[in-house]
Amino acid sequence: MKTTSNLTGEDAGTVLRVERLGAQIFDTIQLLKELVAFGVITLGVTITKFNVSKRVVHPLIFSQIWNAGVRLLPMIGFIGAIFGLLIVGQTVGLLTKLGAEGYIGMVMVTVIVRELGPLLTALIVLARAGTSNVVELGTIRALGEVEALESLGIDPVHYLVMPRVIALSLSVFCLATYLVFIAIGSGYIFAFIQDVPLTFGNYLGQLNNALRWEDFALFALKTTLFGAIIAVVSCYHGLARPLRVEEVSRVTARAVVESVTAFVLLDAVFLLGYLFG
Amino acid sequence: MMTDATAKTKSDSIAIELAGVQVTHHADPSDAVVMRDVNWRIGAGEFWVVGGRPSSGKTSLLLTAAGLNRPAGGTLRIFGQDFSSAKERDREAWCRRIGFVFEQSGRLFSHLTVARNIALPLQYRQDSEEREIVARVEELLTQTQLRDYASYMPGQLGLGAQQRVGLARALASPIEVLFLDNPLSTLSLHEGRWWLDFLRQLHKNRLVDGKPLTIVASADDFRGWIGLANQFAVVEGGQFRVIGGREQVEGAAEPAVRELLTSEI
Repeated sequence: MKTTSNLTGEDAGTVLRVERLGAQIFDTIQLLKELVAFGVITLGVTITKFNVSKRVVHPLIFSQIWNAGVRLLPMIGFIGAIFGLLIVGQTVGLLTKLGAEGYIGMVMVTVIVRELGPLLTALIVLARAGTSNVVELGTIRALGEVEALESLGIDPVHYLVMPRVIALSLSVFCLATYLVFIAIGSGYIFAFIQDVPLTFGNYLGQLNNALRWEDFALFALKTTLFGAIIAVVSCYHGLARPLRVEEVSRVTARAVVESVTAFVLLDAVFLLGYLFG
Repeated sequence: MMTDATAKTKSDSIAIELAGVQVTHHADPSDAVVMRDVNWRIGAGEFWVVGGRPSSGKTSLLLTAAGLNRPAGGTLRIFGQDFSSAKERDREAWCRRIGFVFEQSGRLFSHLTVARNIALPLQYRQDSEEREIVARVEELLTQTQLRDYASYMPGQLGLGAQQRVGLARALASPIEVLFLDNPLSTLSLHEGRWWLDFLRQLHKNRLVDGKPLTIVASADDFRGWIGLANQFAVVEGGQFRVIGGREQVEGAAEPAVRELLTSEI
């Protein structure tokens, strides 16, 4: 029988690569399990303890909404306007030139409302609030504040995670709505400047005709879930274990990659919903 | 033979009991055992000091006894309830009855002011009016000589003051047992005297069911504690050993105990 020790150089290299791949798959499954478990615990705490210690926890939710939502309004507004000018305006102009004005509403709804609006907003919130969450919670963990909370009978998930999950879910939903409005508005302005023969009333009418009630429901669900993903992934990486200073950048980058992967996977699930729903 | 009434009185007077407990390292996720077969009864009203060299496992032992570090084996009973079968609600109830002052900076909440750090456990528990909380915080700030620092952030204070905020935060609740993790380790002589005087007064004046407040402190040596505590134990080589009262400590011939009593470096 051939053992690892008497393999040729090439065979040993292959075995090593397979071992590494196996270890990576195992680690990924383990991480996925832990993230899901953390998310389920957070959901349970949110349902059972939402109204517990309102005077401490609810101000934390508002403070997180301020940090992850209100403070991002100028940036989202700016990006929404540029997004509208670059994509919406050009698309409207192009479709009009091709005589395909009748598809403007459908294209707008598909591109802005269903896909890019929620995804772009989630990416901005992830970059701004998700990364700072990892660093902030990592510091809290490293300083032993989590143990201090437990010693006082304060549930760390209730005090540190729940406010972030609620605030980020609400923030991504509201900011995405804001971005969609700004993008649609600025897109029309760009098309108007290009002398596209389309009245604002017609433009809105087409959007209205293209939108189904499911679009509103799925938009709300998708953006809320994107926010929850950012919160759960960033809180998990910040709190899972005490971070050393040199680990912060690596863990933050990891949280970003995992969140983006989760966005794409969730998007794929929603795409199936749109296609077969 | 012990009657039922005597047995009940005896069990009522035991606040915390460890029987054959395997203590794990509090900061090690692999649950490595740092102390084996710990047998320890902390009676209500007692003042314990656990001595041992730095990194001997005193912090893990105190956290375990306070119900904040899960033991790897043995039986831990807190106020008569078994730790392993306790529900989350029971543990939250213990935390109201047990105060823990962490070593060095006291592990304060860095995003809250001194006053809000002290008020947090009271505000979280929802059983006091806001004006009652304000009055209680003011009282604790005065007692711990921190009145002038109420609006400071923890990072603006020295280590000694931060530790006093930790003490005030632990005392904010109506606790029955107070754990102090090496409170004198980083303090100047003056601050150390303040702590010993404060703890003496606290043990004498804060009565719980007619008994003094139960205090359990860890220390790198017994100097300063001899005239204060009434029960002593040592941690050495991964073993916990009860020495006894003041006389037993002063009369002990064991090198480990003599080392904790010596004043020479």
